[in-house]
Amino acid sequence: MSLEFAIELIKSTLPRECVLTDATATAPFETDGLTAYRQRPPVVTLPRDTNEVRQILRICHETGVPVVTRGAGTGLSGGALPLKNGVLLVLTKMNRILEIDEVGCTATVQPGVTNLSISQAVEDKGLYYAPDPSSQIACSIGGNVAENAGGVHCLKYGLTLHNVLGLKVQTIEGDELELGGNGYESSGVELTPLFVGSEGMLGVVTEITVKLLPTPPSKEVLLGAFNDVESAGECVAAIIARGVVPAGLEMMDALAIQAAEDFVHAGYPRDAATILLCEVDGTSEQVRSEATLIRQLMEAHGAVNIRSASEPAERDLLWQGRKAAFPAVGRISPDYYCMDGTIPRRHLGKILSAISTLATKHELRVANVFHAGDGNLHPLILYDASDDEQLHRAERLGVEILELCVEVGGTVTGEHGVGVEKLDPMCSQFSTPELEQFFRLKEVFDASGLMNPGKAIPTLAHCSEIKGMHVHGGKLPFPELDRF
Amino acid sequence: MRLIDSVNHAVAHKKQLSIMGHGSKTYYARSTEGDALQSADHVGVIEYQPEELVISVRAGTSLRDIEETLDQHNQMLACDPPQFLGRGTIGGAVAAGLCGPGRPWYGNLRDAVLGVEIVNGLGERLRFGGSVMKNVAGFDVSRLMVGSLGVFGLILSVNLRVHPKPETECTIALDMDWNDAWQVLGRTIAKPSAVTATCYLSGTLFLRLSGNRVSVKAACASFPGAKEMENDLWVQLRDHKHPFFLEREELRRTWLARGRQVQISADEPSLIEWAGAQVWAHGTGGTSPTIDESDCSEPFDRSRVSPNEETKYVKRLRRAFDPALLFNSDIRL
Repeated sequence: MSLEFAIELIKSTLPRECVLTDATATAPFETDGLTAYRQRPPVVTLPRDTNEVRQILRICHETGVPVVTRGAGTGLSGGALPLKNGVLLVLTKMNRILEIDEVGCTATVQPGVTNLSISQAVEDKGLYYAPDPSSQIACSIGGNVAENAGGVHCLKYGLTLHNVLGLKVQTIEGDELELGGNGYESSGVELTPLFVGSEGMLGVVTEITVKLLPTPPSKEVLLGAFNDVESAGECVAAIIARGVVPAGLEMMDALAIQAAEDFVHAGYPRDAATILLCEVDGTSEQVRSEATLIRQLMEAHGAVNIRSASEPAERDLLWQGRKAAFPAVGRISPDYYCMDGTIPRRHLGKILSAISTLATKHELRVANVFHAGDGNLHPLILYDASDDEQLHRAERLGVEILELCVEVGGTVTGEHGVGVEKLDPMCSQFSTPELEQFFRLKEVFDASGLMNPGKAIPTLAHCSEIKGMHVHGGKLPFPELDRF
Repeated sequence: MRLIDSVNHAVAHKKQLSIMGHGSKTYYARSTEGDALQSADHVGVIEYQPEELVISVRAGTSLRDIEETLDQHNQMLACDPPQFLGRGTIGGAVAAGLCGPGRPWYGNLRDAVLGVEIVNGLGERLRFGGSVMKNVAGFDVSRLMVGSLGVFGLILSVNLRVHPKPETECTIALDMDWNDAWQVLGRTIAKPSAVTATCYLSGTLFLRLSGNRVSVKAACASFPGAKEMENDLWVQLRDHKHPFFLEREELRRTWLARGRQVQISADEPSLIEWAGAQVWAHGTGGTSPTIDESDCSEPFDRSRVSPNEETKYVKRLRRAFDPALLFNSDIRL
């Protein structure tokens, strides 16, 4: 009843065009970038300003109805999956760039602004916004903040977290928090990091101040082909040991190379076991000396075929194969499931061979695309979703890959977030007291548990379910929890 | 393990604890309530893989030892936390969250922290984050610890991102008035440059240029008439050993929004870092340097900051980690 009451209240508060309840109108919002999960939302709200966001939150708080915040819906972990009994709060209408300060090199924007449009708005001033998730043409900066989005340039320029200076956040209790600011430090404890990557569990971000960087005057991209993965991995370690922090450092395995080459014809060597793509940027003197060093290191580690590009068109061509890797893999398989574990880089060889063994066991193929600089691995599991049994095997393989990442000291998600997708492997990564600490943190800002419930942090009940009901001495683990 | 035992004892008996490392930053913040919990003996590098650009250390490890360890592999911390009196532990540096003159270019410890292990007020050992650069599993508790002044719990160990040392560094001094200096400083942020630290003091602008030999040489050449100085200026500034900082009693700092130029007066000397965004001055405040409402200005000694009521969320946050408020209970965030 409370949901219907909340919908009535929202309808009487927001203009007609900002509230959707009709099935045909709400259908596009039933999933985000993780399309295996779908739920049609009973109501979609499209607030135009902070005040309308606050009114929606107030109604949800008063009626006890949960709320899921959504940006552009490009997230890959189901973080914006609607609830069947909740309100979907879509921030795409709040898409204005509020202020650009070209002296201080900051931009203050609303959450619905797309990632790329920030860089486009300041291009003529010789500035740009550094984090560049592959969905940057469509994804919103609010979603980037919610997921702490990454991209291919994180090794040198950091994640969203390192590029956000300040946030305005609306809490479900009706408070507006101003976190950080447009300086380098502020007095008191800094809560911004807690909100960046919090997947809509703590509040709704309505304003974001980001740092802008000067566009590097010079760039060079090098591509090296290797006959085995280990040599490429050692080459990466050698580049970093020599004191170079490349702007981008990417690896692809044979299956990914072939798929990409067939798709975009970037001139990748089809017979290579691995390619390494390396971008250096900065002043022209710096780029020249770093590129020379990297070429020498590639040669020393047995690269068979080295190409380099410093002109924009050539550079783009070399990048194109990598950037099109996901859709390219989509052409050779009806469906693919993209994983997102991070590992300490030195375990790369071990992990890739273990993935290959696991894939054989589950009778599935895996293409590997890897942010080699920061250890973020994207194995793409090829499967056919029309076959339930294959989907099940793909999911099983995915969980086993992530458990492997945790075992070697890595993490289950480097940049895509937990959402609904990685609740199971979160149980392997965190202990019961750690999960309880997370929930106590959530309660600080959302005591009634209405902000995106059921996402990002698995409940203890969930973890005890998936770990199996091991009965010790006649007692179930966590006897205080309801089971159903 | 003794530290854990002390915490568990305090938790069991609801006894308050004041966490202490080297005590190097007591003139910034200190807790005096409860039994002293000494973390300075909890030392050592747990793991260091230079090619991963990550080091994992116990909280009591001195910053100087970490520097020496990294230096053997031509690496450094990716930020410049102060070592007042030549001392300071990494745990203390994380808890205080202070940074030296390289802040706008190297970031702060918050940017460099990848993971922590802490003991909360329930006596639970908890690990957050990890030892990899990209990690979005769970709330980012490790970075919340930076600047938390120990109120969320005892830090046991920290995993930090490290950075290759620049091939070379040089320091130059340019005599110019503040308005001209401001123009130069603006370019260090808005244009690609080799500058990694700045200081303006009494009519002279000091710049640190870092990078490979060719780019530093090219950068130096772009400042004709500059005098070359010793590089230890930056350590003196970072550690408050520079003569400007000898008078500590009334030391104030002011943070300005990026891009806002502070107005300075000749008779009230100030030292300006961070491309103009941090201003140090002596005096009880208000007039020196000229500030406006948007700037945050406060005594460096936090016990002199007029106590603000903590917001309800900060209060709840403390209780979420430490329900009985055992850790550094007299510190206000």
